[in-house]
Amino acid sequence: MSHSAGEYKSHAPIFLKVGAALFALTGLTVYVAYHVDLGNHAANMAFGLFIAAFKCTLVALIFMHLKEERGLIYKFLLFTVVFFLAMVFLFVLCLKDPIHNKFPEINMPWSKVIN
Amino acid sequence: MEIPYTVTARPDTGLWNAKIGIWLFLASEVMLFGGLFSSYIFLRVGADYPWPFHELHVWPGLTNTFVLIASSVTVLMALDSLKLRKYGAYKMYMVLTILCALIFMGLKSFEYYGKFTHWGVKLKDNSFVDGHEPHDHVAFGKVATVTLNLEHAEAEWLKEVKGAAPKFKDASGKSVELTAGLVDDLRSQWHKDWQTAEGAVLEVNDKIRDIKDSAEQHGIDESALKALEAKLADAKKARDAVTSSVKLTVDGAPILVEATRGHLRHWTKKELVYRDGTKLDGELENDHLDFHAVTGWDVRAVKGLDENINAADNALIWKYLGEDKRQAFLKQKKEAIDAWVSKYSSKHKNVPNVEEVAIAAALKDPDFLREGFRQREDDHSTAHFVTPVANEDIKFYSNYTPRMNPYYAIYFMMTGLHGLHVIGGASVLAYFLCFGRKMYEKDPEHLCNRVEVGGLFWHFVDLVWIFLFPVFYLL
Repeated sequence: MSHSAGEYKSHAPIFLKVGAALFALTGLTVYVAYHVDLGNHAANMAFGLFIAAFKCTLVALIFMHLKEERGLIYKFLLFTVVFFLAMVFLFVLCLKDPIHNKFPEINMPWSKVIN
Repeated sequence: MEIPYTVTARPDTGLWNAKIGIWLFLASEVMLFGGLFSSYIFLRVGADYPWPFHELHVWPGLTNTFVLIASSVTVLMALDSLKLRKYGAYKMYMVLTILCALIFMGLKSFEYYGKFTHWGVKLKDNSFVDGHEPHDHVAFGKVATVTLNLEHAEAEWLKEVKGAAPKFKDASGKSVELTAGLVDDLRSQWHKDWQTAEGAVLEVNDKIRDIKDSAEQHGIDESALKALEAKLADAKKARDAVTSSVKLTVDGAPILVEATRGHLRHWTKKELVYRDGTKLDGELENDHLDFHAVTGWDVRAVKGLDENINAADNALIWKYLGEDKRQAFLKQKKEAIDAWVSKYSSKHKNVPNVEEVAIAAALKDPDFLREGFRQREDDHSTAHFVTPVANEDIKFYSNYTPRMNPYYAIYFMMTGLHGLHVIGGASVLAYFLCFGRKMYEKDPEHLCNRVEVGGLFWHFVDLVWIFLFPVFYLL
């Protein structure tokens, strides 16, 4: 991504548009968290986290120029994503009942969403 | 030697040095925050108390989110200007970015301050009351004698005596004025006495050893040995009689102390012992926490509430908040139940005993519990009164710091670490702003690369906040 001054074209409009989208999505998250009942608390949580993940994707792809990067960085990030997800879902292991060697039916946030 | 690929990309990877470095660093940062998010999930899933969601004020968090997004845009605009070789615009956008960082940290400190000055008391039945300025003391009166333990004694406790400065008499009946200086004098006298007595013991001991050592040559002088052993016993007795405790009698009217609980080692109905070992004999008059401006209550964790919807009707806090607040709670509870039942029965038309089923479901729903079993009175003017809470009813009390509960522990941990990242990132950007000119004149692309790397870190800081905000403030 090396440019000499002559050939570089400003990306300002796209940055401003993405910035505005992030503002709007933040507003939406707050509005939904306080004023919209999506059925139950778990559904509201899922919605909030989904929007946050979407905002993160926007920041990473456009603000952090990942869209324009090539192979090597994606290879690093593949490991990062895998380990990050592993850590996030690590808690599932602590739910396991070691005596009966199975996962008990615990009232988890998503069990409400599924049922 | 010129280091290769600081400005231009390496042809095979398409990356220059610093970019590969920052991405590796950011990957490790994701692991760091990933570990903390993982801890957050563990704490939330395993919480045995109602998880405090919607408890932080939204507006500072929301403003900070906007501020960070704006700063992410301005740092990109700075890079953009630099690439267009507009140094003036670059400087302006950098200043704006740093300004955003300052606003962010300012708001964050404002929030932290609010938490540090806000207190909560958990009573024995897990009902909870919120407020400010706790004044925690044990009133102990009719104090007629005071025993100092010279090993650690200080005169600090005298500051907690109510009324005029007390006068004391020592064991011989002489009047003494108890001051820090006097305590020091008594302590050095005690040290001196003890050393003299211990010296006497050692001296006799030495003599006995000499007799025993010379036994082979001269035989033992039994009578001398016996006399010395008797002397040794006397010397030991004299040494053991040197005591570090000094008993003082109050001269005049008995005194009253209002002792801060944190200063005490223990207390009973008849004695009160400070942490420096000073013991007061008297009578316990009052043992409570004065709690100012009660700002809210929470009965969601009251024992038995998970089974019985009326379990909180006679919670301990109503004893302190009064019948009016209790009636208000009962009304609030009834409204929440009515709203829930009507919503539930419209959804589940064919369920027999729908009210019973609805209430059982309600007790598992965090939103319902918040609606009916918790109150925050943020308008302090209407809430200002003082409640003395008896110590025997208190299970735990704390200000809103990591000590309060695991939610606040992880909140301060993660937002604190994020704050440090903001400070670090802003410092790096400020460096580029202040000292970038020389590099810009020599090789503007090199400065572009630096700003891009600094910017990547800055976007990462924004990215972490994008998750922290909903996780702690909204969900």
